[in-house]
Amino acid sequence: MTTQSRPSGWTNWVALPVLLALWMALAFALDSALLPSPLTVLQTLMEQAASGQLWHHLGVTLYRVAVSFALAMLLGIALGFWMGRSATVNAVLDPVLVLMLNLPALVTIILLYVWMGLVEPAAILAVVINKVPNVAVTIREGARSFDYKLEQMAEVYRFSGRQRLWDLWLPQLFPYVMAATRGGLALIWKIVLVVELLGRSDGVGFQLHMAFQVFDVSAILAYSLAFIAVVQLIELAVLQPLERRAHRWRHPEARHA
Amino acid sequence: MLELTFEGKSYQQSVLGPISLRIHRGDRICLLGPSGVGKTTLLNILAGLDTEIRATTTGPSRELRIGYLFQEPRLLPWRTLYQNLALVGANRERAAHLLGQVGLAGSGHRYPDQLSLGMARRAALARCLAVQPDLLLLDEPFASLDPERASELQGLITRLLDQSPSMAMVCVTHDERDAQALASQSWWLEGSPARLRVAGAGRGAAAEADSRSGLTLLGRRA
Repeated sequence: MTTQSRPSGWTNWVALPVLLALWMALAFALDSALLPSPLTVLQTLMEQAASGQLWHHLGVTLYRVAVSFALAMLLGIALGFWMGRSATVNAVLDPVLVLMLNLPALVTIILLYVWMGLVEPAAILAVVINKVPNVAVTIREGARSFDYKLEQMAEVYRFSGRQRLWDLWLPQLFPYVMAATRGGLALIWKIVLVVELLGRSDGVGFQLHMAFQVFDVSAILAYSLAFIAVVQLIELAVLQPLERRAHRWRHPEARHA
Repeated sequence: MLELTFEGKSYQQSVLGPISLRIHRGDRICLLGPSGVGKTTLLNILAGLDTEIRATTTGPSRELRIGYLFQEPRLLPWRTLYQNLALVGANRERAAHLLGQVGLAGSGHRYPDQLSLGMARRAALARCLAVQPDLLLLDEPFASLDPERASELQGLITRLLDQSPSMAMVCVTHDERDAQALASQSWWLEGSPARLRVAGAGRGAAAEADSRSGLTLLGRRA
């Protein structure tokens, strides 16, 4: 997988600072309220943090992301696994999957709000329905590519159902689960913002809505950047260590000829 | 111990013709034949991997325990050797003992990717032994090994067979010298679709094996 050698540390610190410098220069040149400088945005961020507003709305959004993410992954993995293992199930459910994949997020959200009212379960369900098909498609690919040679081995040595699941299938599925997680987190928080904008009275999406009404670009950028930072933190603190741990066997310290 | 009769096996084209065979406790059989003739297919059928064709077990009615050394080691790459052996029921102590037997003492915490092919194959052999097999199936155990490693492994397998005289073995190979060294009888798979031909070979031919184990072979054709 990773045959390339690791690039040196400085490579991570090029693109973002350049972007920041460009933004600063542009803001300085335009001198408009519609493009506040990074410093103004930082100031807004500090104010919102000090008043407690930022933490409240960030927390609410994070909670919605976590709940809908967990549900979507659980359902999507189960569905994808089932479809990947059984040709019949796949044939039956595939048209539904294609339909759901092509259903615009906005349509699901609006319909659920209309049918269920502007309530929390409608918001969560809308996000889950949007994400499940993506997860299922990725996991189905994984479940289809299981190594039949290892299946035969498990058959001969009479692996129990539990052993098959934990020792045979999940390790093979893991890269696909990680791919679904990566894509999932990014997609889900974007949908959550739309859900909040349309029908909730708290969360980052709601705050963006408020800021939009008064064209408060500084607040829009402050909230967006704050949440991007949170997602980045999850990536660094949870996903990457998890991936490293699960891939230990791929990078054995000492290889023999 | 094991009886098998079937009318043929085909995938896109017919691979195996009608075959009928019996394996008895302690039999040491080498299955010879040109590449692609269907030796591995027959071995898979013996291992119970074929969904259509089932061998019947005779004698004491409990299920036959089978140790299958596949051509590739087929260890779970994301599990250490200890964990791989634990999956077939060997506790730590027994796993360490088995790994010692195949010359891999102290390697229990390694992952299969850290081993050379010869070592991985021996680790897979340890897994075969972990189930205390009644029937040991070996698919080209000496392929892709240099002559020294191959003869080492051959010695190891002979020793292990001598230690458990009631264990039957079927070893797929295309090298008659392997058959001479390991087996008391040779089966040839030939033709297309392939038929089974029994030939006296190895240590003193089938006749001797016959009297020793009361062997009945329906070989040739059904």
